[in-house]
Amino acid sequence: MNLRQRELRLEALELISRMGEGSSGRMLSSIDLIEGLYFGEENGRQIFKHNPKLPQWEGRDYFVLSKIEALPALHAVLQKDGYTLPEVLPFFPNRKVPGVEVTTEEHAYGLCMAVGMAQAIQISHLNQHVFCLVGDYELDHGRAWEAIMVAAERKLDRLCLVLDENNPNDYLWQERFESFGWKVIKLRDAHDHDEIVYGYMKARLTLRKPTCIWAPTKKSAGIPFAERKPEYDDTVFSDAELQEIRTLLL
Amino acid sequence: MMLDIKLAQIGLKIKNLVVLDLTFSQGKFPEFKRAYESRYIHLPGRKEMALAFAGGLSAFGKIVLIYGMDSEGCEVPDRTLNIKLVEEGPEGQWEIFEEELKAFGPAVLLIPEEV
Repeated sequence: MNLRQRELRLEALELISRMGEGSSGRMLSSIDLIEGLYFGEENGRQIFKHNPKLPQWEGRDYFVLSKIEALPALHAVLQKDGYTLPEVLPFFPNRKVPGVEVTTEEHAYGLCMAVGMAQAIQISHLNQHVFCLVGDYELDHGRAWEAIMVAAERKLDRLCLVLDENNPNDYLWQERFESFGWKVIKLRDAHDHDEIVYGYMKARLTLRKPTCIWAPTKKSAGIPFAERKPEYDDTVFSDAELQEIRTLLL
Repeated sequence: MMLDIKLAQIGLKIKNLVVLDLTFSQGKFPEFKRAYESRYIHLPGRKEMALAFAGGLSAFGKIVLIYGMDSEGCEVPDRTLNIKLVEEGPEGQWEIFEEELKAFGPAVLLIPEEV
């Protein structure tokens, strides 16, 4: 885990602490996936085209956060990347916040919207990509699979879905997505920056089908005493605990 | 179908018009599909995701027309999304439809299915 990943963990946990509620464990499983996207580079070039000084730049790639619980992680990454965020941040993704593309309060809504965005890119022949982070539980919704089906039918190769599987189970994600006509890239270590960036790079190169990056993550990843312990899923850490985490991370 | 022909004509002038057809099982816009294949999307019965999908399209400046959906159950978490219900005029004509589309700008328009 690199220094930036550790700093972001602390900043995201501090955001949750300031807001007074949040899902620390589920948020920490996603933070490296978002960090890899925003800070990943290939030969010095961004793999996710964006400009913190011009959040509405027309040529940008789009990141859609469907997994609502990971919002503090996104806010922390945006802040670190140089976006100017408001002092009071919303509890749900809201596109009034610079860098946040979609307003949503419902599971799987962001995924459906990301498919629509990728469809618009295909219609207009634009050179942009849409990345969408979803939690594994979101795929229990019918509309998520409707969207997944449509993405494959329409061959939306500008769409990359990042599946954060922080609750290991026996679902055959690879077989499921491939049966719908998706390309699946499974990450071996979903908290390793280089592995994540390599996954995104491969996703960008996919042609004529959408890509799913299957990321088997760990809840509360990076916080040794809380890792994979369900009692820390929705914890809001106190100042003393945050101080202890600071000592552990930095 | 009158609306199909009208849309095929309008589609030539409004390049960012996209039609989502939710009718099952055959689509209701053969003329529009023939003329602008990439702008016609047939999603038979997929009402659950259609509105969010249309929201994604309209984020890129598209005017999205959803055929086969009315305002019932039309609850979207994104309050910034422009949604309008469009119904056939009293004389059964779609004459002022083009003006309405242009006036409304990038948005999602719902047209209930004809009985």
